[in-house]
Amino acid sequence: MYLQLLIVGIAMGMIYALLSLGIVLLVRAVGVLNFAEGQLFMLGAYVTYALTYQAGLPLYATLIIAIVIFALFGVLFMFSVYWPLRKSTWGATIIISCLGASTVIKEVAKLIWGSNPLVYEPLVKGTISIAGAKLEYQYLFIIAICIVMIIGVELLFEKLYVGRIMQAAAQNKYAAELLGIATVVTVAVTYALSATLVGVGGWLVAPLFLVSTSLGDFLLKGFAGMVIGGYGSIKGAVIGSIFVGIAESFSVLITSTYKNAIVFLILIIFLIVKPKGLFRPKISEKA
Amino acid sequence: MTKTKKMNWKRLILVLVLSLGVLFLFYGLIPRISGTYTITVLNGALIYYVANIGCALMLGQCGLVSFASVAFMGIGGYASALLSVRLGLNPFASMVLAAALAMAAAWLLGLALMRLNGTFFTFSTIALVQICYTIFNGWKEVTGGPNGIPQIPGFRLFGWEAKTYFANYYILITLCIVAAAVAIRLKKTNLGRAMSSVRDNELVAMSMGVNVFRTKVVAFAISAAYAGFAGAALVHSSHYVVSTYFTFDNATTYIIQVMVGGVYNVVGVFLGTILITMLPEWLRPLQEYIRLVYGLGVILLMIFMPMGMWGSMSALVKRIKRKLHIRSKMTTIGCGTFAQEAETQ
Repeated sequence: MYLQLLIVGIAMGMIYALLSLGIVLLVRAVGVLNFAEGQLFMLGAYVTYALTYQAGLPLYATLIIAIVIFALFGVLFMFSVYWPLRKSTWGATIIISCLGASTVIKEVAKLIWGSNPLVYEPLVKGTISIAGAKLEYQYLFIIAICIVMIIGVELLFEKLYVGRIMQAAAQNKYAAELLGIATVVTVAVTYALSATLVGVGGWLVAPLFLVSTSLGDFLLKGFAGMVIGGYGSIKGAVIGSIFVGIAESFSVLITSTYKNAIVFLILIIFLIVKPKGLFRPKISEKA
Repeated sequence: MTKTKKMNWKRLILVLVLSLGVLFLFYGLIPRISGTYTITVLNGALIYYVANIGCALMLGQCGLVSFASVAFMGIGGYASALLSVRLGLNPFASMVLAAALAMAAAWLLGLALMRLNGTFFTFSTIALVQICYTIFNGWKEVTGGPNGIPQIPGFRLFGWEAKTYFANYYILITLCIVAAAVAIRLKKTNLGRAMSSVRDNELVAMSMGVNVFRTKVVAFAISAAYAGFAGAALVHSSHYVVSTYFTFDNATTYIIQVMVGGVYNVVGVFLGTILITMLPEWLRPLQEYIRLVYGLGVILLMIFMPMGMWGSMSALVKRIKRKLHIRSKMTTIGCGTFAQEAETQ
């Protein structure tokens, strides 16, 4: 029972981690809180659904094409919602336009795929029994894929030259431009990366929670994980999100009605007790 | 001296004429020309407007992005519903109590949440909305959960009862005008100026002797009182309350309404609220594309009118005046251009 809860918690935490990574990357690079990230996540589920069932592509082709679509969509998103507003002095405008974008994406998905939830067959069918409790293989699959992706992001930013360039551009745009870094490109790449991360997240949860527009609500858990971990830190976002996932999964033991309330109560307690989160970000918050 | 006095008279007459016009428009014209359906939709908009004034107070006056108004609407709504259904209180009395309760809750929460700055505060308000929604939805013994509380008494006063939508409209518009008047007055008080200074520069405000923390808490409490009042009005005019009224999605709609109109001005907020509420009605021929157009519209508005419709309008007026070399009357009495700038900003 406990082991099962733990595994489910970690798996969900990993999904939240992808979401909060998507948000954190944008926060670091452009200082924008992307409220449409949840809809990008939802879009991930829909796009892979369309490619698998409506286009009838095999798995590898689905994945490759889906990732290309996510990345392109990320860039499109940047040029429509962030770029025209980048010089705005009033931070709330970008938040509002992101909210508008989230409505647009949700509605487009509804128009294309209808408002009924769609069923996505698990990639790895069946259940495994651990200590007498049944657990779907999909959870383990989620954990494996997410670990690979998170390590990939970490490597990209810490070890690769491209990642350094992106970090430099994120830390100080003006200085980076003086050094000859095309910040347009780094921002576009960040958006593409962010959209890809959450898109794959959407693909992973599709078999567990039907493909529907309510997948966008996962965003709030991602936010919670990011804030608990430390606003703006990659490592913090991952650990905070896993913490949120486990807390959510174990809160079932106490109450199932107030599951959400417990998660967000933890968030508020964290905000009050440790407002900077578990991990200090390398880059301080942009004013 | 006489000149200033004269100008004050002119101003007074202008204000009087304007307010008479507004009163005639709202009490005479609109109920005449609109059908029952429009009035129903309009009633909704008026209720949101009260909450949005509170929201604009936080966002425009104090510079804090808060999603919490929907949570306080819920607190006010349920409080008023329970007080009037279970204790049989007059709806007006229960509304005032509900607003006071929401204010008290916000005061306490504000003492904790206002220690967070900027984005963290915004996050905590999101969390607050989620917690409140979960409680509204889960605490079935008190809130009725997803079934809600039915048969909530409508507005009644001295034996007269508001039975039609039109009667509700007259009550709601009165509440709105009072709420807006309070908000306008509030701007001119010490508290209002303190809030503006906190918005513009916290450090400077602090060094000028403004208690930043207390100002923020008070602003939060006042905005919650507005929200609680609106929630109670919502409950009594629709005779029903259910948890889905108070979701995070609704919170985002309120923020959009406030931003689209223009945060610094009650008229702007009014325009935004009416526009966003009426838009789905006006765009009815578009059928399922309504929400899509609405989302696109919000993005475009933010790109082209970042200060909202009212902000853009006053900027336009200023530009036209400058083009036509029309000087504001202020300059003639020698207050100079500074006063003029201050006036138009």
